[in-house]
Amino acid sequence: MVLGTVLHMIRLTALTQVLPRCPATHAWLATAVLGSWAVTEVSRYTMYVFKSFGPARVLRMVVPIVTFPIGCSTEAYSAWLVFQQDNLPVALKAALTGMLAINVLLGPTMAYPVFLKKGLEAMGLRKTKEKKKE
Amino acid sequence: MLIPSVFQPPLSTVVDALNPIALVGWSYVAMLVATTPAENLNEAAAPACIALEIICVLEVVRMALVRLYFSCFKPFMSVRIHFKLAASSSHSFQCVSRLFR
Repeated sequence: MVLGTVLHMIRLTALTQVLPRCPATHAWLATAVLGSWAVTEVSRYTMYVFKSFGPARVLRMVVPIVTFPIGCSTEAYSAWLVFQQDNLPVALKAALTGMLAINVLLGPTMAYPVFLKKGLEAMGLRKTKEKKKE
Repeated sequence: MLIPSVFQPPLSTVVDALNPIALVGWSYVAMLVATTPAENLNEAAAPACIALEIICVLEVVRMALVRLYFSCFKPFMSVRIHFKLAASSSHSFQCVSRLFR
């Protein structure tokens, strides 16, 4: 629940504050950020809608292995570009600092290993904990 | 968190109602990403993305409320479960009357 709250706060900040302020020369960032979100969410909701369809679960676990690094890094880069701009409100600077800290420090070290572990388990490339106990 | 089976049908009904909407919405965003020039993408996709994010936030809020409900009203919850079970039971009268002994 905490992860979900943080994730959606970052996304709403990116949507309303970061991407609209990104320089036109870096317009590709919107494609990368929104594309990674869309692909991740399509795979997630496909699993929710087609619960009994096994490959949907595997897809949902495997897709973030690719999309998370793309989304996380491009969100952080776009936040950094906006952070460097002049005349930003203090509250926005604080939000961008938090966003950068989460995307640069916590995302790759705490969130991504979990996604990687789940994805590898879903693909059968890593044993699950239960199997280890046996 | 373990949700008693009595509460599962209404809860999953709400979740299931939102999921197809979100799937269609995110598919639409994916299509926009694929077809819209990068310069105009944020303007084109932002309203849909914000609406979809609100659905996601609602899911988080609902989970928080469910947790709050179960932690605050746990003593009453068991009574409600018994009531529901009793209502669907052929021995409803005995079950309900047992609650009030």
